[in-house]
Amino acid sequence: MKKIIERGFDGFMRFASSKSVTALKDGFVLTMPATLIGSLFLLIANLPIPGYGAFMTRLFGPDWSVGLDQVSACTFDILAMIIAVGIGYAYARNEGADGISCGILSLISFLIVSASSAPAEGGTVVTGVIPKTWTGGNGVIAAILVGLLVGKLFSFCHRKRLRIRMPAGVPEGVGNAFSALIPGFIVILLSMAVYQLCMVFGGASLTELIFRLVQTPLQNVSSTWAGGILIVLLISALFWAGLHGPNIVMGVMAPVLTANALANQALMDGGQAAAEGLRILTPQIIDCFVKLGGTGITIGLLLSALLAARSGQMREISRLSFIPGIFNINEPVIFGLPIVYNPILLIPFILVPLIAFVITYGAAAVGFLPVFGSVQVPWTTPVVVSGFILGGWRGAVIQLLILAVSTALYYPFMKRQDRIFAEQEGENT
Amino acid sequence: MKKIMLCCNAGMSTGLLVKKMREAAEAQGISCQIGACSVSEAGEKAKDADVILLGPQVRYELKKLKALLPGKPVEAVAPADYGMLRGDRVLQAALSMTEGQDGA
Repeated sequence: MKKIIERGFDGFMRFASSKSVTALKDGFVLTMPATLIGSLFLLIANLPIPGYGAFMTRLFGPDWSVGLDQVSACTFDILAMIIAVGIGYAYARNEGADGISCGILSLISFLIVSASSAPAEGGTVVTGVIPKTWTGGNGVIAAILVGLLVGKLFSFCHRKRLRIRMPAGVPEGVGNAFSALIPGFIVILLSMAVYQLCMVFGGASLTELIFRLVQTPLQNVSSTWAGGILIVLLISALFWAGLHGPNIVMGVMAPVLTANALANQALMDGGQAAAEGLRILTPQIIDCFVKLGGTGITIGLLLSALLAARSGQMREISRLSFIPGIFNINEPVIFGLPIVYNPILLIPFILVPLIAFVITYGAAAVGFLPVFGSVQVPWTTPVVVSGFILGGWRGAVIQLLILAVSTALYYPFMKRQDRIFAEQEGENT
Repeated sequence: MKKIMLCCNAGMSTGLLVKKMREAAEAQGISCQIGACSVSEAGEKAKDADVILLGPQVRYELKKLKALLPGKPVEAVAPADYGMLRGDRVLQAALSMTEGQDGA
């Protein structure tokens, strides 16, 4: 049994360290500054306070938010373009090839396989544009696939030394400019062929086809009870085995969940706040509710230990870990207590996040908690503050409820562990 | 002067350990430079480091870092030392890794 479990985790480790997953994670991280800064501007345009919009309109006129809206239209709505550059860059860099050349090439390829026209009012079509319908959340999966494929091709050419070599004596910069030509030509030629084939036989661009056939089903599955529970379970189980669960699971799922959030925002901007089609499961639910205080919601363990622990080890580790825990960092508890491979604490470590997910998802499903749009907060934002920014007072209340549940549920398991520590300490002295 | 670089998912939890290691180095009168960064920045930020240590939760990145930083000693921190933030022990482990390298 133990062997099977270990082999399972080894599989996840190999998966997480594969070239594609590494490039996906590294590349998606590069979208963080854009989404976090975009969030700030979007938040100022939509503070979660009743009557705020009307008040600002009275104060500054109906155009008070055009500048703010422009910023979110140029950060969130080009997310797929950033992803294409980021993944192409990361893949080539990790392979020792020229990262930025590959990133630019990947962006060109993404634009080639996406539409260059957009429908306008009255059934006409505007040509010669880069439509933001496909460069934002809707183009995410297409951008990932393009980034990975271009990265692979570019690195392959680099390995096989498929490049124009300049005679000795030509300055290195000049030589580098030529070295991207052959892979560039191959990538662009292939992208052209793909565009031609998709338009002729599919009647739409590759980006649109992927959105309809792959991304939409993925998004629908991601935002179900089963999808959410699977994500939450995996995150805890991996960290219990000492592997960074959020990094591995969200490394793959974050683009899909972010696409959910961006699609929600588009629906809400269209004035369809209560409309169907909103997807509840967004990155904010995972970051700020399901792993509040760190994976496993260990902040409740720390609180119960601070209240009632007797053993030196339990008191020491909870004192050491409490402040980082407020900022959602909990590696000290996970490795120090330890929770890793600890059978006693496995139960609450898995159970508490699951309950937190059920509470949060349920609150959003019945309409108590607003469904989240594009606004995100850094994952280190403390409890209650993050809940308030995202969901107003209701968000803060849900977080406090989760905190209370976590403390109560961890308490008996903490006591059991505490007794074991106390006995060991008694033997040692 | 030796430069030690610690990498984890975001450079946050290793940041806690870095502080403890600096205190330990100061207490023992060892002069060295210790920093933290995220794994995805490691190729740049750890380029001139003598030793690279990895948080145990991201030890699956070991292969990538070894490829990115050829010839440099890269290892994961022992989980218990990492969790208890035992700066002195991690510092010792890091320094012994550089000694091995000098001898080679």
